[in-house]
Amino acid sequence: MDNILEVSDLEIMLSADQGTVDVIQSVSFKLAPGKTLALVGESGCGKSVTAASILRLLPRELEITRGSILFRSPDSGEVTDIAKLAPRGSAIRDLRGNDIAMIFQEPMSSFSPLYTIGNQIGEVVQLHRKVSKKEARDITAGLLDKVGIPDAWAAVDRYPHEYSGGMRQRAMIAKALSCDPALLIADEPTTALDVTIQAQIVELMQELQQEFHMAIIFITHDLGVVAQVADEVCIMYAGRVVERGQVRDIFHEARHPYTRDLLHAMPRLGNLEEELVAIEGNVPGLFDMPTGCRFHPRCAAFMADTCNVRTPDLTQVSGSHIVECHLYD
Amino acid sequence: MTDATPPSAGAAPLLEVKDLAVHFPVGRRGLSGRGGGVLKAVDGVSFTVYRGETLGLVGESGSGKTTVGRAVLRALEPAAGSVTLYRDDEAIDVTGLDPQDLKRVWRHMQMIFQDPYSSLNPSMTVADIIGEPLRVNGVASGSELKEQVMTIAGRCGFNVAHLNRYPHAFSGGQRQRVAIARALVLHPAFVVCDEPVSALDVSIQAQVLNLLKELQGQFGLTYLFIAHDLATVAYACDRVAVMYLGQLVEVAPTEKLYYTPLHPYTEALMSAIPVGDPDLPIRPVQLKGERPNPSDPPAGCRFHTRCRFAQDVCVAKAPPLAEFATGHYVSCHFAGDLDLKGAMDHPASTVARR
Amino acid sequence: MSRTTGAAGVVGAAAKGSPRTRSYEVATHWQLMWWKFRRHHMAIVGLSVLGIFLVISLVPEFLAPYRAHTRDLRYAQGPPMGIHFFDSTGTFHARPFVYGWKSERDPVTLRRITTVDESKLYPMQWFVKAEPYKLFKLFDTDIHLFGVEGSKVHLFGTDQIGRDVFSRTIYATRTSLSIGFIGVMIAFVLGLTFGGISGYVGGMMDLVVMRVVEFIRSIPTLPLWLALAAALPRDWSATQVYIAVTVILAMIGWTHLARRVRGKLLALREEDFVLAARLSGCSHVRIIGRHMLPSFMSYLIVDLTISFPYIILAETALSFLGLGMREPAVSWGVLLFSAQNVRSLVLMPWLLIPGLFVIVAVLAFNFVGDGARDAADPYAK
Repeated sequence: MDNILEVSDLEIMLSADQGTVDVIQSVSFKLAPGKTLALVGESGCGKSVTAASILRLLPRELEITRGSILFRSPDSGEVTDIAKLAPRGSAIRDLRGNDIAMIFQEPMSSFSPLYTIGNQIGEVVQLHRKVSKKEARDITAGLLDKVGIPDAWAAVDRYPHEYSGGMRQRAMIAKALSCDPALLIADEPTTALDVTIQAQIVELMQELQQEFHMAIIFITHDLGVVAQVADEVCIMYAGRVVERGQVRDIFHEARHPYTRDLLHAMPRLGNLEEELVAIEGNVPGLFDMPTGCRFHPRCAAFMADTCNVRTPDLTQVSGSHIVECHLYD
Repeated sequence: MTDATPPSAGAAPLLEVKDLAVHFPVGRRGLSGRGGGVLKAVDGVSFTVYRGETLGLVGESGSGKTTVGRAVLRALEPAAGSVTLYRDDEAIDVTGLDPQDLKRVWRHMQMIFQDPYSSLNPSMTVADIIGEPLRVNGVASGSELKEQVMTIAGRCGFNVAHLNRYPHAFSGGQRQRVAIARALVLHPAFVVCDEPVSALDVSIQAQVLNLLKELQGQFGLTYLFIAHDLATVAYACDRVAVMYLGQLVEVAPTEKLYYTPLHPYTEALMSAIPVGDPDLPIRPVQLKGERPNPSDPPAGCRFHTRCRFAQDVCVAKAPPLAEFATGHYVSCHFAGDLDLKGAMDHPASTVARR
Repeated sequence: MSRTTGAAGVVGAAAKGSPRTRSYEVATHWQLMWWKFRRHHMAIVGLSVLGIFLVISLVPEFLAPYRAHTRDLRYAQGPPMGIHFFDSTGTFHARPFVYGWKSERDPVTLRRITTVDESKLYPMQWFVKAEPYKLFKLFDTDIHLFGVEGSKVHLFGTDQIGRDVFSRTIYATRTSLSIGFIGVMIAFVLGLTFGGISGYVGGMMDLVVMRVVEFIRSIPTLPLWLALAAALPRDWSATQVYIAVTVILAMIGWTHLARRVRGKLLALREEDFVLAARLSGCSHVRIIGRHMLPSFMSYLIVDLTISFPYIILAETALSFLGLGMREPAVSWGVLLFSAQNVRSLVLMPWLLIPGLFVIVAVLAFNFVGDGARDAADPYAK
């Protein structure tokens, strides 16, 4: 296995009062070391659940019921099936601390307001490497400097609330980097930020990816950012991957009607005369999933007696470009 | 909407805002409630909204754009300045109204909120929510009220069979339609749209933007459209005003602002917009340093701490918002002298031309 | 658990699209709360227990075989009687029975001891006629839920002077719970009024009310109760003391509620839907009544449920110390007061049974409170 991560046929079920229902269905993707995969979709499409399952951070009601999440440790070359690990066991904790890191939309959630940024990152550094407190502080300041925090040696001793939104995001990235992860999962890291700061953070993540040779899973609903950061893209809709491929496949050769609609619905600069295309209808709820192709009630290319009856098969368009749609059966 | 002619000098103004200022108390206060500092969230903002147009108000977090939207309606009390609403032949000084008269004026000025989850009372049915303005203003009751609620809900694309349900039964897009119906049920002339699509999914955003546009035509509405990104504003607005740290830095018809921006901040905002094409990476204009604390804004031009063209004069003197070309206002000492990149230089326009 | 917000959101969203979709979509705030509350099994248990207590408080005369002050001198200091199905010969009786007893003096210590007389069986009877009473102070009747004919039944034993502990506990339940209920209601009205003024009017009023609240809260509670209770005239009747004790407890209980009301109002004032209501032209009365109150009524109910046990415990503590309710009133605290000394504890441990009622009641309120707290925001993801 050359890839750092291979997710195959993943299925996650939710057990609620009303019974069990799948949240994620036959999700598969691969990620090569040093590459960026974007998981794109609207709220409720399952992109965050997929990401959380890689770290086994699912709430109790959600359970992996099928499929595998193979992770290859770049140091030892050892392959682990994360889906088989005990969710609260030491094996997954080791992975979380050493190989896989995660950053979130809201940076305040990963810092305690009670301790300085330096304290909190230094703690992770100390856990990870055998260094003294003093050395850990130096390493922390170095990391803060690397993520572009001005005057990093003073910033080490500041508290999270003394940082601005963009700086907190940088500090969180520094914290994630402190364990030198092979895989970074970024859950909507730029959504809460202003456009000017968003651009800076995206650029920073790309630089750091080069330097640390990390693989990144970038979760977002913003196709504009995806075009900038991703090597590969998975478009998710209602718990399924409807199309996946290289970033150029998706942006220039999109096949699935949903992907195409999304691209047209995205406001872009520069084409003032073009109308925005709306996708009619709403994202279906978990308990009233349409039969057949889950997108069919909103699809412009809907074919009666086919789309609403059968789940489409995966069709290989070219190389790694795969689409799940009856148009290409 | 973008092909609409920018309002010429002859277009009738609907709302005139002059030197608007809104202050918030900050920091510790003594027992007397006095002392402590003042945050000038909005500091001397003037603009005019013309009948039938959509004026975009764009800025990043902390720019004071939402505060302007609320102060214009007097949902927040302005510290200074005036807001005048022109109705028929009457000029109403909104800032000088007593509470009773203000209530009457609110029938002509309404608001659509950003978050459709917090703007609808969870304990009322959709029908009650939409009908409330009619009921409390004594406009309609009984079956007439019901009929008007159904009409407006239908116009807003809400399934009228679901009117007796509670907001929790609906998704963000549906809720936003309810919020729009409530704002429009009294047939106001002017609506403040406070980031009406930023909380919605991409596929739903376009639905709501198109709906707002459609309703504008049907009801002859005038919008103040508050947004944080220039890309959305391009689709929705005839003219755009850009705010930075509580002040307007540039006001212009959308096309002029996009193709020939005159303020360095507008350029920076525009350059940071993602292109949506993997082959055309954006080159955002880097803003130096951090956004200053709004409670302690820099002297002179407020943007000088981050501006790549800043000179001594920028520190010393605040530039006024002046008309540089017809309908194109800018607040910069070097307006027209700087080599700023507009939308045509943005990689996205290459995509558009292809 | 902010780490799993994304995934947890799905769980919330799932609850939204339930199969009983129709009813969910037209369900009111309170129905949603009830559905969410129902998921807490302990809260349901708690609620059932409270239901039983409510019945006890409504008709103690019917449930208790004897009155609180009826003395059975022949069985004074007697232990709880067992209810049997099998007699000493091992014969099964379909109707349960109690044994008779003999009362004699210990020849050595001269202490009076009661011994079971297994030769006499008294079958338990439902709906026996015994001491007359007025049901709900209206209907004359003498029917009691259970009893035995020809003898007496003391499920929890008797106290020093032969009063039936079971009956007394039943009567005490009414007193203690009603003190709790009335106390909570007074606290509720005070809290709502002052918290409401503080939160909605704001400014100087807010400042004054909050300083008063802080002052009251900074007084150590126990000494304050002691001082206030000690100030009650000794010659007051049981009813007067009862009212006074309730008021004293409520006077301290309202501060917590006032703060909550104020905090909630301040938060709600900033909600978009409140601003929308203002822009719609709603009056202040309508904004408070139709928009703000329904949104935080559920939180208030949670607070009330949680403050209930505090008042009950406070009453028990005061009475236990001899400063609250006094004989001839019967409350849980008064009953425990008689179990205060070591001697009676050793000789008559059954006098502590009312203490179990206190524990069960407090636990039940806390379970219900926990469930209610979770259900208070039925839209939470």
